[in-house]
Amino acid sequence: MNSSSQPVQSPDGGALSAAVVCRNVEKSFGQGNAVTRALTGVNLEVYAGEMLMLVGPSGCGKTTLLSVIAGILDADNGSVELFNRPMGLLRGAEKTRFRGRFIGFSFQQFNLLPQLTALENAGIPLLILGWPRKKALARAAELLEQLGLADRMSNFPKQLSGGQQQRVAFARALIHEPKLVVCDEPTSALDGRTGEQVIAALRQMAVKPGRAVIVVTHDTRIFHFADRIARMDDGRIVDTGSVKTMLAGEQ
Amino acid sequence: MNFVAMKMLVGDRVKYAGIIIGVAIATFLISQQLNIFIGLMASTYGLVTNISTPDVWVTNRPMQDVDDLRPMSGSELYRVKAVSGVLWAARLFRQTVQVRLHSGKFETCMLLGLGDQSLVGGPPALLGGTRLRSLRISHGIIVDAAYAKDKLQGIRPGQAMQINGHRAVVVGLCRTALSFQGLPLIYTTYSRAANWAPAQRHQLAVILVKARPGVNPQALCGRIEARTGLEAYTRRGIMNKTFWYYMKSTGIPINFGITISLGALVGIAIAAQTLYQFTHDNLRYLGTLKAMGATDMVLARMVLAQALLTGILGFGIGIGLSGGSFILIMHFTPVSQRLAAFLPQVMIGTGLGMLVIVVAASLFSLISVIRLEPAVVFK
Ligand SMILES: Nc1ncnc2c1ncn2[C@@H]1O[C@H](COP(=O)(O)OP(=O)(O)O)[C@@H](O)[C@H]1O
Ligand SMILES: [Mg+2]
Repeated sequence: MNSSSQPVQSPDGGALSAAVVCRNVEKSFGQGNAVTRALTGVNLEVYAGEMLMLVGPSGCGKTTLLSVIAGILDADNGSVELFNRPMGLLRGAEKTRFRGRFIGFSFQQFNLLPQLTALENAGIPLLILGWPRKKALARAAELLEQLGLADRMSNFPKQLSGGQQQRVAFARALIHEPKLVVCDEPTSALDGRTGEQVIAALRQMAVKPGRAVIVVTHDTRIFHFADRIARMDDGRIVDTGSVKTMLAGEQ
Repeated sequence: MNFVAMKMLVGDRVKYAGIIIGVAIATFLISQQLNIFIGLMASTYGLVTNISTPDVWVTNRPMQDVDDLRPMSGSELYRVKAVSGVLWAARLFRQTVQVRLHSGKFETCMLLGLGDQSLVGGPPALLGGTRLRSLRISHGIIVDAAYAKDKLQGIRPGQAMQINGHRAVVVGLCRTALSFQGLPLIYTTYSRAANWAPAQRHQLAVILVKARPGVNPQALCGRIEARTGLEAYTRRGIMNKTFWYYMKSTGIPINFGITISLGALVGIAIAAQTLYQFTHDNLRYLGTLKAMGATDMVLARMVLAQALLTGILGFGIGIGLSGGSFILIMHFTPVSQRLAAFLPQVMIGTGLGMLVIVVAASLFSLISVIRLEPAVVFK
């Protein structure tokens, strides 16, 4: 097993710093006969500076794995380290604050607060971190502008198209400059063209040195935005590699 | 994050209004019923309120409440006067009489006769320059201004009426507290009252006593009872005795208890339910905030802030309604039915009650927030 102080070997042999290291992660739901083994021993590294896509059939455990990595669900067995920090050691409010500081979330249903404007929604992570409202909203405005939403800032989520809502969700995921960004099915509610556009925007804004981005998807049209793809099936990672090798493997 | 909490609340107009209305209804029902109840109970000792000066009331025994006075012999006055610590003692005459108004209409009234010389025991408030000593003018009476307007058909100072066939002239107006029977009060002198009322063996209803300065009224009561065999009460004491008589031996407390509890229950159910529902409906978003780093403490503060804002607004509206309805009652109902009161104690009590309710409801809804697995947000 990798010790957290050692650099992890990247597939091409260079030393990359691992943002996420999962070792033998298991997670089950329910009890007795009704038990569902959602994760059956996941081993995965995600490197700082890359966008990793987690792909696989519906029900294979992608969302569960993303939840465990992001620290909103506890694994039954195995270990998850984020930036050399074992998540298993964080408890309660400490873990919550850790998420607030280091992780950006984009949810499948966006989960934008319906009573807040685009601008206010985008500013929430900074408000959680205790920024004054004015500063938080000013920063949110900059980000929304970069995402092409300059004229949509005072709209409420239901006044926005799916693509616009996803951009607001990205702004919210990125505004506090998290070291890990997790996105669950960001294009599932969007048509193909819009999907590609928002992922292009995400790629451009989110992928930075020192930051890892994990995108859960089964939308093959966006695979080519990924640095690497990890394929899941039946609760485990079955394959990881570059887009080319993976697409070749699929055929 | 309080900003986010307030936006969540205010941005959801329908639910926001629903919670406020719930709290307002609860506040209104509770404070209204309590005020009426207290007004009604205060009216049971209205006579004590309306005979304003004495420290000690001496009555013939046995007495259930202050309207259940058994007349005693006039000579008791001198025995009471002789008790040490008595500054003065005065007679009070009290009897219902038939009054014939100038229209020919009859009205039952309560005639109160005050000691001729001292005129002790006058009404709590005299109006429009009225002086108590005007009662010495022949045929003089003082009547309650509100009753003068309605039950006594607009009678004014200088005008006359017949009391048991005797001419009586209004020499002044006063304001009295509502008494339980709701009869108009007519103040006059003791001897005139005794003269007007149908002859009875004993006409002395109560002896009113003022204690010498420095004399404890409670101790004075003990000495009077020991010396005279009569019953003596402090002002507070006779009010309490009357109050508890009505509490124990009438259906008032039970009926009001039921009404108040039902009102409270309905109001609380509405307020608590809407508040709880609000948090519940927002669980997904609270979960989102939790995933994004808002601790349970932060979420708790948000939910409490929402409860406090709606609680304060709802309480304000409810108390406003309660005050408004009090003003309407005072304006439009006959004086004998004005049982309502509007007491600061009730306002404060209801306010504290509502505070407990909204905080309890939001704490209750917090349980689900704290139990919330943030992983639900990916569902
Ligand atoms: N909270 C839960 N309770 C019970 N079963 C769950 C829960 N969450 C996920 N599952 C089950 O775990 C498996 C993996 O689910 P999930 O991670 O959502 O898959 P994916 O995101 O790949 O579609 C599925 O069989 C799903 O039904
Ligand atoms: Mg999923």
